[in-house]
Amino acid sequence: MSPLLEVSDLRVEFSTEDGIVHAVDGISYAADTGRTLCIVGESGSGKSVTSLTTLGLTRGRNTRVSGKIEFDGRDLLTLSGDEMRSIRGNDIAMIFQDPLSSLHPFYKVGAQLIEAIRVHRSVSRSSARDRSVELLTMVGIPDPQRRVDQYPHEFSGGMRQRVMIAMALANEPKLLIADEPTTALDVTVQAQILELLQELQHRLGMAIILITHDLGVVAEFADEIAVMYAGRIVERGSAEQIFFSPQHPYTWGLLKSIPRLDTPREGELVPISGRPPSLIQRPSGCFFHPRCPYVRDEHKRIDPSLSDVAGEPGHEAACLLPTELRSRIWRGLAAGETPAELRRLVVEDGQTVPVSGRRPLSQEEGS
Amino acid sequence: MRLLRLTLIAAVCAVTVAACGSSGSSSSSATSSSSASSSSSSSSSGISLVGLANTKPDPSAQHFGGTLNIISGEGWEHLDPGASYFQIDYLVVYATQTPLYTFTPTSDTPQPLLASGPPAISDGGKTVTVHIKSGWKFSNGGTVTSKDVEWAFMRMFNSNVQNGYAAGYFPIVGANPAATTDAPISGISTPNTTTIVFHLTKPFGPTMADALTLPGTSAIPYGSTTKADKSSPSTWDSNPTSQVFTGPYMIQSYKAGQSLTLVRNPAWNRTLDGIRPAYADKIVWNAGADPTVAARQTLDSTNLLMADGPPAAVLQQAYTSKKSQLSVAPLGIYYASLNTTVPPFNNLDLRKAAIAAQNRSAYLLARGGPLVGHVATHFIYPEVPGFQQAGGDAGFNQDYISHPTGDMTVACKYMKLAGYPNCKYTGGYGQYGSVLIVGSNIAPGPQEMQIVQSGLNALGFKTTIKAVPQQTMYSKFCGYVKAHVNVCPTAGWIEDFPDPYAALFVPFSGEAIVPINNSNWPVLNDPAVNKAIDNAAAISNLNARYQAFAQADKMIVDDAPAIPEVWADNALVEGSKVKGVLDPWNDDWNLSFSSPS
Amino acid sequence: MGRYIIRRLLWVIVLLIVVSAVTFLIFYELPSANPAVLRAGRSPNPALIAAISKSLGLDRPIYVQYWLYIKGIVLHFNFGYSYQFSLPVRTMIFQRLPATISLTVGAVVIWLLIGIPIGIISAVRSRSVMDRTAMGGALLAISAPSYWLGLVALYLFANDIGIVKIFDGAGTYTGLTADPGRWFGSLLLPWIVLAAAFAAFYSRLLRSNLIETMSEDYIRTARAKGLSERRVIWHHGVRAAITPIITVLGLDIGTLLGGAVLIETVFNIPGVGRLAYMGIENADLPVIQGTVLFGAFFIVIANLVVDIVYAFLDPRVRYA
Repeated sequence: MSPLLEVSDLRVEFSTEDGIVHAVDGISYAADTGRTLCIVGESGSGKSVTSLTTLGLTRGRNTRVSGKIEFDGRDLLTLSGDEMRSIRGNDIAMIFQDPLSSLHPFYKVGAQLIEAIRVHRSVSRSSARDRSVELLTMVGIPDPQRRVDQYPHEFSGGMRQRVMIAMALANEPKLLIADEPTTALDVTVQAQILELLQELQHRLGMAIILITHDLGVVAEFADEIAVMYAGRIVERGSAEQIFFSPQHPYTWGLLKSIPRLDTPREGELVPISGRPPSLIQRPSGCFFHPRCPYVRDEHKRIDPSLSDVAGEPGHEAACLLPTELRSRIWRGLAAGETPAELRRLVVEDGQTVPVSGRRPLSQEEGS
Repeated sequence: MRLLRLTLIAAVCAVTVAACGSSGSSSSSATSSSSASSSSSSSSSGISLVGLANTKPDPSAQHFGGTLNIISGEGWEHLDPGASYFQIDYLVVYATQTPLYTFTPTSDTPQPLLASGPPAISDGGKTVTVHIKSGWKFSNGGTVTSKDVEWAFMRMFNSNVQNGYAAGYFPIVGANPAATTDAPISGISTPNTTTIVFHLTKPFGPTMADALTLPGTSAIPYGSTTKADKSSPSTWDSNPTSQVFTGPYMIQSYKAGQSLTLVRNPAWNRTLDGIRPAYADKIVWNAGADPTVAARQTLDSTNLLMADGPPAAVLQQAYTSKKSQLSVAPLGIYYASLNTTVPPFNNLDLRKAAIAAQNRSAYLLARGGPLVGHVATHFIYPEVPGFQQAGGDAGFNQDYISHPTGDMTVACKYMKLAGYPNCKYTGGYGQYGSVLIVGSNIAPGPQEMQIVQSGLNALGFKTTIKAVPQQTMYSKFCGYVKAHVNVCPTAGWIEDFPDPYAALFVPFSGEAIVPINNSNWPVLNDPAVNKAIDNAAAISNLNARYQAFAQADKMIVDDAPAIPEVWADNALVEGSKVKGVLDPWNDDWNLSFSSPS
Repeated sequence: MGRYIIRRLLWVIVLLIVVSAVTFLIFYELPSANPAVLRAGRSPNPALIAAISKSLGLDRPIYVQYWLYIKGIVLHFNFGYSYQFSLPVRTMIFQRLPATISLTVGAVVIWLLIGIPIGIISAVRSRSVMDRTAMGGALLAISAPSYWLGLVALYLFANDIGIVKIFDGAGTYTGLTADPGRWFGSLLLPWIVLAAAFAAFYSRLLRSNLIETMSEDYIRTARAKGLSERRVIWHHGVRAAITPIITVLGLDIGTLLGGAVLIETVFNIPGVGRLAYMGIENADLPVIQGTVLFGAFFIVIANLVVDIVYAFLDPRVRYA
């Protein structure tokens, strides 16, 4: 069965005064009914642009989009504005990071819900209102009859996000995209929201794409994970694969920078040095090389493409280091060694790099 | 002195009170007098008067009927004939009321209007007898008698009515200018219903004959305004539609500062009047307009008369392209007063030096050039009878006056005479530590102050300039004797009626000095001058009278109390078809003589 | 909300007292001329001046004078008498108020009808040729001095002195009840001239507000819901961007009700502004005082109304 959403070689470029921003540079992923895909990355990695493009919200004068986004048998990139509008909020829904600013401050919550319903369904106001109350109940908001006539600023942060979720689910979408839904919330509330999403997914059977920079969130929730860096997917796999045998230095950095209750107190968090690269002037060769503790000379010239990880079906990584070397490094990191110490492994290992340098121009995986 | 308009004329008339004994309030009205002198004096200035509008009456070409449309920037101040004192107010009051005598567009000697003949002056000038026409009707049906004229005089001395000139021009025995009711005056008697006799406190008769043309002499039904005159000012002023009218027109409607409508007075008798033709059936007047817009509207119209003067830019334009709708006539005089009572200008030679060093033609330029007048050389100005006797344009040719652009040699001569051989002043100053120059803060005040200043600085005087609003200048500085201001360059004068007394008394006679709202800004008190003016005022024979005043003018110039600046002209514009007729003495339209076509 | 309004109204009273006191102080105690001299009609004799001083109470101490003035206003609604016209100031102001209100209301309607659509279109099509032209034109309209603009408008379009004779010229104003047709015709050109700068300002203000609003997160949400772009712009964007406009509108109306002095002067509309101008020209202190107080009153009330309205527009704002 083909996946519900299949993104193929999506590229999104913005022309700005400073140059062309390669926000998304040829990525492909898929989302399936009843399953959750988490897209992980720092800000500026292109993760939000990806999903906004899926909804058609990045169309504009200075934007160039190429590739294919297949949803339910149609390529969304070829649809007209009106066709996209009938899909937004209907078949595909999206919730955003800051629920206070994402809800219109001047309208009652009920009115906003009713609006979301009536744009896609011709129902009376009163039945739309009844449905709104139903939705609020579904997302766990107490006293919904009264709350439906309140304004967003009268809700707490967690409650507001529940309202956003209710609004997104008003028309029972097939795909829900959640862009950093818990980032702006307290830790305890975060857990509640994630739980809610999970429960709703079980109930309604929708596909979820969860975009976040927080691997802790991902661990709970994801079926599949795609790690994005500088507009590209640098590693992809199932949650188990990514967490237990990550194959990309960036992923290692993300994992090692999460504080964990079981790391010894003396152990330091290991941040990734440096900053995300400019998407206008990207680094030569491997995009990650300026920040990679294990960089070799040829990494500055050769741009790796996603390749399968041997022995782990469905697991891909875009790194020029050989697989066993990577596995050894990870084992060291997991044991508490520092990247500086582990760098020697890279230096000692004199194996030549497998020649799989050039970026494929077509969708085929080069090797 | 009659106030023309704030922006045009600076000086304010002050009426001296019983405290000073005599009184003279002079106002100025732009005088017509011999039109010969007017046209010649204007044309000698350098602009050609050829092609300008004909503002004289032309009965063969004027038609009866229609509506006269007037437009003005200024509103009306006092429409009560007992209080009326403004150029613009006169247009209405002279059309709706009837003074004993009047000047007309073609005559500069008083013509009997309500009176039946010239006044009889007897008793050495101390008694004036006037007979009035019989059968003149009020608009409310009554007949005008001498008692109604007496009532008019009683009102004028009621301070509630706020008359500004009564005490000055009507020195009647028993008149009390501080009265607060319409009190009887012992010096006025009415032997019969058509005769009224005035007994004066001094031989003022010949001058009072001219003053009987003032609107306050209009007959008012005896006792009718007792209630109205309890308010200050009288409600005849604030509610002019409540008046009783004797003129060709009545005030039908009035909105303060906005609009005024006059309609024919059915009780008025044209034959009995004998002077005013009253062509229009209706007169509609809209005030409060922006002067620039109003001037343009008037020039582009067929039927508008603009009651105040056009602004400089439009005046230029009218002179270039619409000459036949423009009239230019002499108005008054501007000068810079030099305080004769405090240093440094309490010294005659220093005053003469100061005058000699001035570039007086610069003042004309500051006001707008030849279109607005020409350089002054003495104080009886064109249009005032006596102007020619006083030397006309050239004046008396004193050496410190004869060069309009100034003459430093002459200035130096007088500096040396004053004791400063280097031609530079090194002496002391009054309370301000320098020569204090106070002038208006709106144009051309600031320019005039600078002109004065540069002339004085060239002689080494230390000068300070102070620009203030017009009202402040009158009441707190130049008109306030105790302020001891040295130089006031924005002084000006227009007279109430065409007689040299009205041009000279208040600005230059020591008897006219009052502590506040003074108009003798130089504070000149030369007994010889005072006597010359008083004596001239008592002369009936016109020629001798004018000669005597010309002599007084010379004496004043010899005293160098002021720097003569500009003999100013006033311009008026009218529509292309309307026939506006001017009262040269008021320098504004005469509504009873103008016609819509 | 009720308590809030009452508190604000009390402040209104306090403010008006302060304004009246300052005006009083300026004009009565630091006069450019003696009020009695002015009232005496410029040709006074000292007895007359003394009599008037007494009747005006100028011989009393200043606080007594002020107290009498305030008492006159509060008890009898008496604002004194004009020096120049000897009419009650209150009568003159009320007589002229309809003209000022006519001028204000018409201008407001026109500038909203012009400014708001232009502001919205410019924001939605920002940086387009249309936007740049509109904003450039707006800048010109704001920069042009209203008096000059009035003159130019008359010289171009007045049917008496203009080149293209379409509008009624200056001085043609008649009351609405007297002659509605002429009332309307006489106000067209003044409305347009008065509205010009405001329309320009409002369009620029709305444009920048709307551009900012359209980049807010809730706009993104609205689009994500699948709403039509028109609904997103109007219902979500303009609804949020319009609130500062309403605030400014209220204040502008309050100010204009005090009299649009320059426009009334150029077009000779007998309103309160023209009265204020005449008062200043003639140093007519009671008139100046009366118009200042009225102007202050309108502005202060407008402030209050605007604040109350704002609470209705923005539910986040609640007054205790």
